Amino acid sequence: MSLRFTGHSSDRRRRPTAALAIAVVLATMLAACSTKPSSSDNAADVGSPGNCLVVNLSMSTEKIDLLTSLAQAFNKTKTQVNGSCVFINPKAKASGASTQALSAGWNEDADGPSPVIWTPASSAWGAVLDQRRADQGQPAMANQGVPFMNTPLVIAMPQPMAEALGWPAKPLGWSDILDLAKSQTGWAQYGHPEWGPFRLGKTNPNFSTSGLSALIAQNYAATGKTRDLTLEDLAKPETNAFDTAVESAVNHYGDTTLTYLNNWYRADQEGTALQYTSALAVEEKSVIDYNTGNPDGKLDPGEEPRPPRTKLVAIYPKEGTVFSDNPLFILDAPWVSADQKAGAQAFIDFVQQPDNQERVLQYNFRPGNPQVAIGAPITADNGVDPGQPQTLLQTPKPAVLVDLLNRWSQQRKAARVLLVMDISGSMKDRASGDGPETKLDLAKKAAIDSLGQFKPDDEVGLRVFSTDLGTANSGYWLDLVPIAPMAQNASTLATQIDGLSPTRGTPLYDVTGRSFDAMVAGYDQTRINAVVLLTDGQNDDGTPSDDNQQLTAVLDDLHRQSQGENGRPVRLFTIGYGKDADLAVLKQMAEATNGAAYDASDPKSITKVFTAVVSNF
Amino acid sequence: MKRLLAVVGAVAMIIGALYLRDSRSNSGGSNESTGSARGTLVCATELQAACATIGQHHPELAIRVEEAQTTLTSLAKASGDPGSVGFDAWLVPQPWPEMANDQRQQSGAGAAFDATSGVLARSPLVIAIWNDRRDTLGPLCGGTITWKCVGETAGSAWGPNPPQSSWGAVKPGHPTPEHTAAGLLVLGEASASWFGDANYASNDFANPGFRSWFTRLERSIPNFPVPPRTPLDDMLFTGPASFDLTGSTEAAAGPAISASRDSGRLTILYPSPLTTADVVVAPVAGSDAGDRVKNLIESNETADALAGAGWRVDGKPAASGLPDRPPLPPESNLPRAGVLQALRSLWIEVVR
Repeated sequence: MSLRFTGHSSDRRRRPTAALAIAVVLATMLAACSTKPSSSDNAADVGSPGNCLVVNLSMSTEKIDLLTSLAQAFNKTKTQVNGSCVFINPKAKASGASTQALSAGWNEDADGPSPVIWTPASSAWGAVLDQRRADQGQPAMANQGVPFMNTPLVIAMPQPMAEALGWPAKPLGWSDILDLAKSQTGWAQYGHPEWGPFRLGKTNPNFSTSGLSALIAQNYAATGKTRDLTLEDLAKPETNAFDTAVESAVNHYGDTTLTYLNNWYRADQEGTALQYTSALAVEEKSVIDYNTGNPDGKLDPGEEPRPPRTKLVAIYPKEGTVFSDNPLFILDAPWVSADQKAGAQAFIDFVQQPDNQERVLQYNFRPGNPQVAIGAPITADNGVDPGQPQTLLQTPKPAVLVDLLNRWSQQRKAARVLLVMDISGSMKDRASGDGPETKLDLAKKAAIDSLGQFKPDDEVGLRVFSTDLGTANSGYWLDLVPIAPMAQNASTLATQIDGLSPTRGTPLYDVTGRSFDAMVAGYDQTRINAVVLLTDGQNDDGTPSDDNQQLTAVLDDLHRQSQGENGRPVRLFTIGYGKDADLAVLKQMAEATNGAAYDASDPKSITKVFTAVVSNF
Repeated sequence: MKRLLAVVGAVAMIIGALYLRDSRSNSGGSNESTGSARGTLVCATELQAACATIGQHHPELAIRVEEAQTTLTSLAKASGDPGSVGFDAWLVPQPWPEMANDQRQQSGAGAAFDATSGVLARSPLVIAIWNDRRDTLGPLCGGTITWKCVGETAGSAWGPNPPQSSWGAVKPGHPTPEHTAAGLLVLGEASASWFGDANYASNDFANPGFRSWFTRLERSIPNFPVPPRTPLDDMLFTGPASFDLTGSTEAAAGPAISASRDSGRLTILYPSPLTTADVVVAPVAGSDAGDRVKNLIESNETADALAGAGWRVDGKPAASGLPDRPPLPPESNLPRAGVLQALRSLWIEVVR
């Protein structure tokens, strides 16, 4: 398991004069390789390209280990194109984020090296990209990819819950999920009141392939179709009602299923897995990851996979499902040369060789090369069925996909969020050596930009904190904008955030606990209730002697109020901003509420991190 | 003086090297050719594997692989001299050369091909079906699965009880007839199944019974993968979830299935009336190299290449994974070229 690291930086120092000539020569050599130093996160270590032709590869995050391994193996072959060896340079970027970056115009500073090969999790992303480009009057960029492995979308459920619904004898699907989502009695109607209401886990379809696939499947279920989903279908009131009902059962969203799976696993270790989430739309691969004790599919150094107490089982929806087919697109982009295309094709051929397809299985995917058998770990012991799925849903036309996403932004469960921003003195430090902005300047801009992701009926408020703010009810925080619908709060929030200025200390524990308690007190069960906490420091309230005691008390409070079938689930999403933020404590606090901790230790990543945080709503 | 000589010598060497490089670059480069002495062969995508082998045997030959409809469209658009189309001969199933001539003549242009070779290789048009679907569909079809029966059941639920209840609707497939030769040939075969033989004409398409059957069949096909991908590729990639059965040439289906992890779960059926894709090479009229390329393609090496790629060639053993039965009919059992063109138009009208 790993913390949600979404930004890293290395402290690069400039050495003038003497190194300049060498730098020019190196730059010339690097330019010949068509690459730039990466500012991207999730960089994969594949060594140095030397004089080889560099073929940048942008991949969805769940394949980073697999494709890094394949790229390393390929680079060792020294495959030649027009007399130059080919070097595959993989970088991970979430499918939705890379789609948006390619659609908006790839920015190497923010997005990393311009890709030659793009491999999102599903071909649907290629269709979305080309449709968005067509809408802008631009030619297709993805066209047709070569799928090289697959994994079906499934509904993951704890085995006791699936059995309560009749699994495995009874076929289950999205319509059963809808029935449960609408039920007033929840699991009590299946004889298990102790499991509480039905809680659905879904990810944000603008960012997550599982979220997009689930949205497609859900809308097919709403219409009773398995193909030819149309714009007219989506516009029907009954489709909208179906979607809204399903969304109402959602815990929270998020940009990746890994947050859910980590939280679920942690809850399992505490014996509360069945109270956290009842079902989660994920790829089959993730069910195997979870059941083998590696919920996010990535083992940190020293981490030992330990199977959960309660296994998940994969339900292959009876209405049909969709595959994440992992296409390899060679982009028709102005930055891609003919030689790079040839190098990309050589890598695609390499990936499909049977020996390399055997590696796909090791990462719990199904091999794309039909000559390679689907064997372990795709087995019943791991909660999955290699004989399923038996029917497939047609990927909707690109215009329908785009309309689905647009409609979802209004159908999704509304949120009630308290933004808690640190305005301590350290926020006035320069964000980097590159410009005059302070950390607070960048945070303000990112926070204001993120406001656009909320919908008008989301309720959002703003609290700032530092020591000695001098208010009547507390010396530590100030509620600048009370929680209210965005329809009325949006401009006030932007104005207030824009006007923030740094003050003094960082009373982190006290303000976290009190903000959380305030949200629990005003809990609204029809909404996603959350605190978003941004801080750049460690607890500093002027009394260090009681810090440990304070932290224990806060963690106990967060944990206690988040557990149990009758809990009022308020999620805490923390953003550790700058290199001095106490990431470990922020992670502890977020996990105590089944929320998530985000790492913006590189201040330049704050916009990206804010976007990821707000994707939970 | 020595220095001067050295400088002069060095300059001479540089000039010599530049001259050599220049002359090499003029004679080298791409192996693409347009009507030059070496010649250019265009292969239909269905013949890609065989053409790769031909290319290895004849590196002097430029080979381009593209969908049959792509070539046909470029021929139809080329006004005047067909020798200006940029290739010298076309390796393609019948009756595409005739279809190209028809289209050119309709626009007042001369024929693109004066003649074709004899049939170089054949492949029966087959149905690849999952065994459990075959066992369920067979009885529904009165014991024999035909395209007529497939069309009558397409789109309906497989059954109310497990395991059929999890299979969804009957999902047939075939390559797109809009672009591919195989797709249009399968469509011709399927329609012959409804009419009883291949002697149908485009005015028969007005028959309401046929129209209804055709519409049901084609609209029940979940999707038409973008060529060169085929429904069979999808079946082998994702299993029975994508398609329950698909039309294909035996050459494409046999070797792929026998080499796949699903060889024990898939069956190849030879529907009646048995229809074949018959490959010919057609030299472009007016091309200097056309006949030379045709002669190359009629060689024993090319016959081996076609047989190795799964096509049936007289006197050659069947490729690995292919049976040498059933025996092929004397004729292809396909409708006429004009009827196939009309069928393609009907398909576009119904599916789009």
